Amino acid sequence: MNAKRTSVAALLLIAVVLLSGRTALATNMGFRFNKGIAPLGVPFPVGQNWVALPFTNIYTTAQDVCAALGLTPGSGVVRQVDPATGVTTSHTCGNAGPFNLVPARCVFILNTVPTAGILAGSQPPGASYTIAPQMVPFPRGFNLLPVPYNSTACTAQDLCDQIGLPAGATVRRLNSATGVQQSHSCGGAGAFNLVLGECVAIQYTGPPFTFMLPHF
Amino acid sequence: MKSLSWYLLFALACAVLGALLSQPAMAQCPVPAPAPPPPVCPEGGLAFATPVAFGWGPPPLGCPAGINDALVGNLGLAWTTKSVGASVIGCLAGEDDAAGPAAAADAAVPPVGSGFWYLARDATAAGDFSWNEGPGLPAYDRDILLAGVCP
Repeated sequence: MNAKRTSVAALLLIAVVLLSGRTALATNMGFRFNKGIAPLGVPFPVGQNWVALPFTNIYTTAQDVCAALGLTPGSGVVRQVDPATGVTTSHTCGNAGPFNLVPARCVFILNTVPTAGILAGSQPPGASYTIAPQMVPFPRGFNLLPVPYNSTACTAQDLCDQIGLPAGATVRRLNSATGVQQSHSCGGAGAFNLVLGECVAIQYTGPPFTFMLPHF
Repeated sequence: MKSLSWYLLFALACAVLGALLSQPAMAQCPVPAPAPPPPVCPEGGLAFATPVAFGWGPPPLGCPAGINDALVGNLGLAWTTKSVGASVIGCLAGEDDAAGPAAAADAAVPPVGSGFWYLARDATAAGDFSWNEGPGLPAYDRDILLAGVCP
């Protein structure tokens, strides 16, 4: 299976990088991106923003994301979902005790008014991602993948191919301004275009696996 | 009855044709070129310290250090073309063969939905080293695409 081969290759590459040490310090690409946040609205899911952060970034806690994007204290919300356990961690901007962000995981953002801010960070060459299989209850297996800013994938099908997702796995995006969702079944026709700075939701059945993505 | 069937068939054909024509145009994804060779004297990992300032580590042992190039490009254009070559803006101000700290800054504010990408490389008075990364899955040879930039 493609996914297995990809994950084995990724693990081997990571092992080589870790063992060699020096080659792990290679020039990687940095980014500054002005990300707009659509406000909450009706009907659901208008205003549900699936925001991709650069893999290595300057944001330690959810409050750092609130500050970077100018989210409203008391109503702006930052969440992350662990697809392996289904546990959702949430922080309301301005509150005490923000959670620490987990790298390689999408941030889910709600805000009552439109806003925007600069997201800064970089993409390490050996960055890897893990996919958890779809399970119950939701959101177990709800993998929100932050598409790297230097991804070579154009469409959802490109991601299917690069990740090694089997036929029937689904890749979805959400237009936060309109609430319209686009869904693509891997191997099918009519894949939608990926959008810079967004995450996509991946759902599939099978064992969890780790992969890397090509970059420009 | 027969003319009604033809009418329905015609209407169905129009509906199918309309649906096909209303599909958004698919991006023409460029075919990745062969992966580049391992870079010579790549700089250390680039990381941001603030929203405008970033730095990078020294090159591997045995490589000259202390002179650097830092490059900026249009992120939206790179995302569309899937390449750095067509989207390069140029060397950051004061960062062409810059002696001193392995650091740079860019305070320019791109429009919402837009951004910049950045790269750094080791350099000497006699020549420059690689824009490429070592590990990972590079799809293009940046040294070919960025030939002549930051000479």
